[in-house]
Order: sequence, then structure tokens, then C-alpha cells
Amino acid sequence: MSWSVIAKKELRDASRSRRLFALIVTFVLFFAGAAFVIIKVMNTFGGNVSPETPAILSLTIPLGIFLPAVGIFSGYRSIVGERESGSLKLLLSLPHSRTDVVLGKFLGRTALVGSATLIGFLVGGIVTVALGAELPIVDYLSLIVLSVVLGAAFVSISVGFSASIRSEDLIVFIGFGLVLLFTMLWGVLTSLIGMLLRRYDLGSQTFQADIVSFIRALNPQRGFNSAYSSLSMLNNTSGDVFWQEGWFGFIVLAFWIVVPLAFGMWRFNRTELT
Amino acid sequence: MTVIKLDGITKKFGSVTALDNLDLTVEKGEIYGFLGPNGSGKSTTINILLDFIQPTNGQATLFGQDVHTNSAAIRDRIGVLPDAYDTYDRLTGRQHLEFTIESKGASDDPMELLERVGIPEAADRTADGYSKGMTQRLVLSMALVGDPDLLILDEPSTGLDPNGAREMREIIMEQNQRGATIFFSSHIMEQVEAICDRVGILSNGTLIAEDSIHELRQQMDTKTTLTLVVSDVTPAVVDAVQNCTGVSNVTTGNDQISVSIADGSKAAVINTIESSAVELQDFSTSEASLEDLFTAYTTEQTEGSA
Repeated sequence: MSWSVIAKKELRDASRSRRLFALIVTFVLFFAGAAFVIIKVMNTFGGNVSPETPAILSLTIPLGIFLPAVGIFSGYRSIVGERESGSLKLLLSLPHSRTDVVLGKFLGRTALVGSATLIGFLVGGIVTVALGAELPIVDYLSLIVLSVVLGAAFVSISVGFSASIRSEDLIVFIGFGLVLLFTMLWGVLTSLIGMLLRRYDLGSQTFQADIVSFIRALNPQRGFNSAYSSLSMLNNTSGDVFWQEGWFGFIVLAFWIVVPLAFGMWRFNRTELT
Repeated sequence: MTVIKLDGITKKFGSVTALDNLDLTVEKGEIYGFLGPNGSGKSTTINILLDFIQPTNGQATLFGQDVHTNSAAIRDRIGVLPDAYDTYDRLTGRQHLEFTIESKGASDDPMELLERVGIPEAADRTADGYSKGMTQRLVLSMALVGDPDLLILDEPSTGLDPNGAREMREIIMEQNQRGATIFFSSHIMEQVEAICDRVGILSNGTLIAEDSIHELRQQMDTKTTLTLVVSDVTPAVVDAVQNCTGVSNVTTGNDQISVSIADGSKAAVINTIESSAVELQDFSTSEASLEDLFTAYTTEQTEGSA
């Protein structure tokens, strides 16, 4: 259970350095602010709160930018930072395997982002109720759980990445690059692939459309949205192909938690630490 | 019982050969001094033992277990003071020890360990404020957690003043008496002289000598140097000195003559000068230091390979 010692250390360090506190404040401001703004905007334009999309659930769109950013910036230095400073040598002089180090870092930082997410949602919920808007409890809970899972996916991406690289030189650019990739560039790149397929007339039109929609569905954010749709009582849409169905969203989320982490472990286990 | 065994270890970094077919064995209970100039491959060897890097060829075992496949289990039994490490800036000395104790599943008292290495007053200060010497003491105390069977110390005296280096040696002796095997590297011969059972001298990735300090001294046939201060360095007196039995390697300065002498030849040299035309004003003797011995070994090797 060596990884649990490392995960605990991560959490303790974060609370000692007030990083946890800062993260919680950020989440609370985000959720309370977003809930407030959304409800006010709805009240202004609709006259009353729309029953089809309760305010708190309108958070899925801003969450799609906020969680990738927080998840990635919570983990991107976790291993390469220790490697560059040399504290990794102290850590690996102790009886921790390299796999334990990657796993422990992932779990510790996921717990960090997860607890801030929970507290943020709680405050967001309170604000929603206080402003007199509706709070559908089942949808609200499934949104919380899926947000924690989405956060974990982005922590996995950043920790896996951090375990795979040798130096911190370009780490800030890489961090921003990853955030951009998962928030904006994914869509742009998918469209680009679609254009290329059409330009060179590769496959039938259906095939081209399927490729584009499949790649789009692989984005963790899309996975989050479609998993949420399948849980939500309000929004039960099902596509004509399997990757547009709700369950596929869970597969996508699981993929983004397991694969980056496994890749990071694989790389980290083979690297030379000098 | 064999604690450390390196069997034909070669390590190449690109086209550079850091270790060349190195064989080395350390038995239980030994204090082994691993000597060599900077860049000779000492840290590379230790990095292989800790599985930070893997050898290009050969096998390394600790306690009879492969260092790569059983790395975490092995590290449960050893205490390490690595080179080029950094502490956790924001953790205090006590927190470093608490984490180490938890990682090893040990039950040591952090304060007791900090007292042992002489920094109890720094227990609740964060490590970013520690001096190099204090940091080195802290990491040594971490290495002592759980009474390890083997201590691997890479240049343990780095950053320590002479007093600190002496305390470090005392701790090494104590740990050895408790039953621990000690493997430590140094580029300073003086530090290993007093405490090592055996010394290995590494140069350019090869072990060029390995024995007890006493045996090494004998092998090198090092002699005492006698320096004579005289009123005038005449060819006649230099000739006379050179002809004494047991004298070799005569060098002359402005008003002095230095000779290497075998045991018991000093009186003959002094008598020769006193019976000559020049006046003997002063003389002194110095025994070859281990530093000279070390230099002799490593330069001989370099010249030999050049």
C-alpha cells in the first residue's frame, strides 16, 4: 500500500501549503458565481427559471473549460518537478516502486481536485436554492459524481504526462497546450480531419461523417456530456451509432483515466534517473 | 553472507563508457570505502544499486536479489544518502522523518534521530532554510530510519565542516557496530582511512585497486620523504646523499634536498651531510599520505591508459 503513503503525503502537502485552500476558494467562487449569473440571466430573459434546464445544470458548459484547466494544472509538475529538483531521489530511496509513485501522485491530486469540486458544488447548490431556483437532486448528484470523474481524467492526463517527460523546461507551455487541446483545439482538429477527408474524397460521405463524430466523441468532455445525458432525466437523447449513446461516454471517461496513467507508468518505469 | 555483488557491470551513456566491466563484492558487516576522483563512476555505480539507472551489461544484486526486479523490497532494507538530491522545501525536518518512517513502516522517534545527527533545534523549521551541512545531516537521519541492514552513502561528508565529518564517521562506526554493512563513496582518501575495512579505488569506470588501507600502502611501496635544509646545495653533497643505502628519488631546491628513504635510512643520510662540507641547518620528515597514495594510483592509471 505504498501508493497510499504517497497519496496522503500529496494531500497533506497541499493543505500545508494552502494549495488545497486556494483550490477550494477557486471552486467556490466559480460555482457560486456561475450559479448566480446563470439564474440572474435566466430571470432577466425568461421572466422565470426555465424548468427544462435548472440553473445548476447549466454548469456543464463552463465546467468543460474549468475542469480541464484545474485538472491539468494540478498535476503537470507532480513528477517532473520532483525529478528536476532532485527530491525524487529521496522519494525513490525509500521502498516505493515507480508505479506506486505515479499512482500515489494521481490519487492524491485527484482527491485534491475532487474535494474542491464537492465543496464548490455544495456552495453552488446552496446559492441556487437561496436564489429560489429549482435544484433537481438526482441530476445534481450525478453531475457532481461525473465532475469528479472528469477531474480525475484530466489529473490522469497531466500526471501521466509529468511522468513521461525528462525536464520542466517547456512545462508551462505544455500545460497550456493540453488545456487548449481539450477545450478548443479538439473541435478544430476534428473539423480539420473532416475537411481533409472530403478534400481527398476518402470513403463515402457516411463514413466521413462517422469518423468525425467518432473522434469528437472521444474527447473527455464529450464523454462527460453524453454520460451525463444518459443519467439525466431531463435530457435523454440517444444517437443512431453506438458512440453517440450514453454508455459510450462512461467508456471514454474510463479510457482517459486509465490510458494516460498507464502510459506514464510505462514510461516512468523505463526511464533513467541520473 | 554477500550484501553487494556487482558482476561484470558495464554502463554506457551514448558513446561514453562510465563503468567498464566492474566486479565488486561487499560482505555483511564490512565498511567499504568506494574511492575515486569526480567523474570516475562512483555515483553511476550507486545509481545502479538503487535502480535509478540500469546497466548496459552485467548483473547487480543486493542481499542476493536482483536490484531491478526486487528494487522496492531491497530499498526496504537499506538506508540511502544519495548524491544530487533535494529535500522538500516546504516540509520541516520532522515532517521529512515522519514521511520516511511511514514509508518504511518503521517506528522510530523523529526527535531522537534529529538529536543523533545534531540538528534537534531545526526539527520544526522548513528544509528550504537549512544549510548544506544541515540538509546532509537531515538526509543521513532519514537513512538511519528503521535500522537498515545496509547503508549506501554517496559522498556523505559533502557540505560538512571537519567537526561534522568526524560526527559522520562516528555515526558510521556506530551503525556498523549495530551490524549494518556500510558502503560509502568519497573522493577524499582521508575520510575513509580511519574507518574502512576495505577500500576500492575506481578510476575511469574500472576498479584499479581493492584492499585494506595497510595493504594498499605496502603495494605502492610508498616511502618517507626526508627534507634537508642545508647552507649550500653542492654537486658533491647531492652525490654523497644519493649514494647512501635506501635513498631514492633525490630532488634539490635552492637550499634544500629532498629524498625518499626506506625505513631506517634517515640516520645515514644525516650523518653523510654532517660529515660533508655543507652545514645541515634543519630537516624534517613526512610520511606519504594516503592522498599521495591515491594520487599515485589514479595518475598512474591515467598515464597508463594515455
